[in-house]
Amino acid sequence: MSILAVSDTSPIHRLNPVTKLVFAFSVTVCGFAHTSALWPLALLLLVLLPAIVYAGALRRFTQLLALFSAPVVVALFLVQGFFYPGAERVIAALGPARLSYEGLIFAAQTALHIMVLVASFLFLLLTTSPSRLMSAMTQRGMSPKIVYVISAALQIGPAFAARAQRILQAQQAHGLVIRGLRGRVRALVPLAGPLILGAFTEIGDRAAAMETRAFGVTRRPTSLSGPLPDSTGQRVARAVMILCAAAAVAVNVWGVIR
Amino acid sequence: MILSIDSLTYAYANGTPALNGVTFQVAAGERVAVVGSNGAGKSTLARHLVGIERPTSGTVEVEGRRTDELSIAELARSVGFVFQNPHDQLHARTVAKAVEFGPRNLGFTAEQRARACEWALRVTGLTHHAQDHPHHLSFGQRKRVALASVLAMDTPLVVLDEPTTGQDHRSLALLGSLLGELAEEGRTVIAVTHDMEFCVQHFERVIVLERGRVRWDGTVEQWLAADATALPADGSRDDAAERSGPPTDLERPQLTRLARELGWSAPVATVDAFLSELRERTPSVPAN
Ligand SMILES: Nc1ncnc2c1ncn2[C@@H]1O[C@H](COP(=O)(O)OP(=O)(O)O)[C@@H](O)[C@H]1O
Ligand SMILES: [Mg+2]
Repeated sequence: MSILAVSDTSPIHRLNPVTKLVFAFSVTVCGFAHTSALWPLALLLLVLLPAIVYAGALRRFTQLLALFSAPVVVALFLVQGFFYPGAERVIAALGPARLSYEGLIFAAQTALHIMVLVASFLFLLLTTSPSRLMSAMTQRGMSPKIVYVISAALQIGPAFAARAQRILQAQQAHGLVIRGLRGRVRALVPLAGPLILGAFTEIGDRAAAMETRAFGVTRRPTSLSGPLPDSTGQRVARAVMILCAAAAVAVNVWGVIR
Repeated sequence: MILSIDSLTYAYANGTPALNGVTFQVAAGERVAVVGSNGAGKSTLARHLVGIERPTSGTVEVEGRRTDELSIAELARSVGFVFQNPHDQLHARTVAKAVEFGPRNLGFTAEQRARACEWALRVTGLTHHAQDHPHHLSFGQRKRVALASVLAMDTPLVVLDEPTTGQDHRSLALLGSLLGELAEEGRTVIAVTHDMEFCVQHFERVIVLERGRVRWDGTVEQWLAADATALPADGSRDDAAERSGPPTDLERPQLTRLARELGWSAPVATVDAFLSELRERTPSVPAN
């Protein structure tokens, strides 16, 4: 019943978690390499989307992408579209606000860049179990603090969803009739505060529990989960992706200094 | 039968098997403790009784109606379910409002509501906290608010998931007498617990779950007397469980173990029973 249940349902799910982390990271870096809108659009449609479809997570992905990027995108289009400084090609004027061509282009560029970031994160979230990612990263000797930050970021969504679900169930078990998406939203809106707070508290509790078990000490902790699947192919893929990211950064820096 | 479970098997969406062919019935008015170690499937089983979880296969019937054909809200008229974690069900500004939530949803009249809430707050020892914010209470108190919010719905079946967690001695005594009161009213109580003292003091029947299977089902007296390596409910050896490891030796209450160490044959679980047995065996122990 979990909203973000991660199961071994596709070859993508079974990849080494670090491969997927490197993938998400490289795609994001590449997305920001060039200001043009075409570049992030191509990454979204030609790289991320096929990966998501292959993982069989398209529906969830679309819903979550819309949920997380819609507010930002709408705000961008309103602010940049109407109030782009130094706009020349005005399409429409509404009092002091002037909808400009330059503003819309800039909004689209920024929105697509942000969507690549969100989409890469969602890809990781939907195909990787945080605990396995954590053990894979610790096995490779990454700093426990970095491991923790990444895994906490991946867990906040699922923790939030699980908690929302438990509250809805409790309300129904107290006889409340909840029908459809509208009903859920109506039942949850008054609880948004405690809900978000609770999700953070849960993750905070986990962090505290980990600290009491000497998590964060410099010695490499022993992993209980045994070795995770890896292959030469994946090692090569990771190296290539990191090279791509480095190249993207180089292109970007070159563009700035030129 | 108020509750009838037949070959209930359940696996979580991620593939974790949680229940495996669970079958038992509960008659109206019974007090049943479902015990077992962590991860045995107790909470999963309890959640099936209110329809929060639906069987992968097999059936659960409450008052003769299959739970998979009813919504959670419909089942709430028959089954009051107290969640293991009180944080998930308290969302009102005052204790009184939290307790009123269920009766309101079930369409109680103002008068019925007032009576049900007054009673529920009294029997859980919360009358003086009625106007407090639930988040300002201790964990144990919050658990009792959750209990009160379910009792107020006046359901024939009450299911409690780990009711003793975080309760001090006084609250435990209160909980015990409350269970007695419910029994007198003819209500059925099923509690999931790993607190054996609590189990033998307040329940008449014990069902032992182990790795999603019913390992043992009988009266408290039979269970106390039974060997630690008790046979499963149907009396046959459960080969699968046998192969995957030794059977759970659920800790019997300390007095029971002491009596057993002393070689007494009669099962003993309470201080009173222990003293009377001791006096019988050792006339020099004075009666008080
Ligand atoms: N939401 C869930 N998703 C996946 N597995 C779960 C979930 N909840 C419980 N489990 C697993 O199901 C089994 C039974 O759990 P549970 O019913 O909570 O046991 P108990 O209450 O007896 O401690 C355990 O192996 C547990 O890890
Ligand atoms: Mg439990």
